[in-house]
Amino acid sequence: MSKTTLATVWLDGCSGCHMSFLDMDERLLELAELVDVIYSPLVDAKEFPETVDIALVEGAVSSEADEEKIRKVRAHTKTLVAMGDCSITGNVPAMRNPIGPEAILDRAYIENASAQQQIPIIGVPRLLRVVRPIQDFVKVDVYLPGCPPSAETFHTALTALLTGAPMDIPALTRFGA
Amino acid sequence: MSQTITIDPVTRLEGHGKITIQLDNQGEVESAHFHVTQVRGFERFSEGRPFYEMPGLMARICGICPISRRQFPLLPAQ
Repeated sequence: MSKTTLATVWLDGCSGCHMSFLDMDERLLELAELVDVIYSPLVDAKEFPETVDIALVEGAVSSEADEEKIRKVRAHTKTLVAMGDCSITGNVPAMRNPIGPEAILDRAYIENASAQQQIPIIGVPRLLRVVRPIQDFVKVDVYLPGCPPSAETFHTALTALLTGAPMDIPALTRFGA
Repeated sequence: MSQTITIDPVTRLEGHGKITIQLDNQGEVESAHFHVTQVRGFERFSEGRPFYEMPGLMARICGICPISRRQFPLLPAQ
């Protein structure tokens, strides 16, 4: 019987959810018996695969590239899991929303730059006016709140997804956890 | 024959990066760019917020190195 295929994706996040996922430590070895990680920033795949059983998505949608990416992930994934507060509510990246992308870019690349002040435009995606959670763009199947969700939460949730057992998310984790 | 080599994404790096290398007709490197494709704006949106939020907020810049980022804002706060 072939293993379940797992992918992890980061959009506009900090990789904290990925680190928390890795904090499962030796339990990752048990997981490796059941899943194949076929795409992830933690491995070397460049293209999102044709079919993925479970995709864990971290980070909010802040740029046109993020939007394109999440739509692609949704189209090729059976179960899409929004992991972490950024993907569910916008969280920290969305703190730029009242200010707007121009002021953000100005502060980072003009005011705070000691040399060659310029807003980067070559080969970088355009920022969306408003940072939004992934559910604003695609249907999400499972929500795992937390900043980050604990390794325990990941372990319980993934085990439930792989075995078809029920999941009580509010008992496991909450926003800002 | 000129060619562009693109490495996208740059893997095993936190934050989002893309590298493009432009080769000329002789296959020599003409130019190389490292594109940082993510910006969140911590420097700007933390302005005006209470100082006690800073350790928690700055820790979210990077999930791999939150610890050092928590300590740093505590120095000016003292």
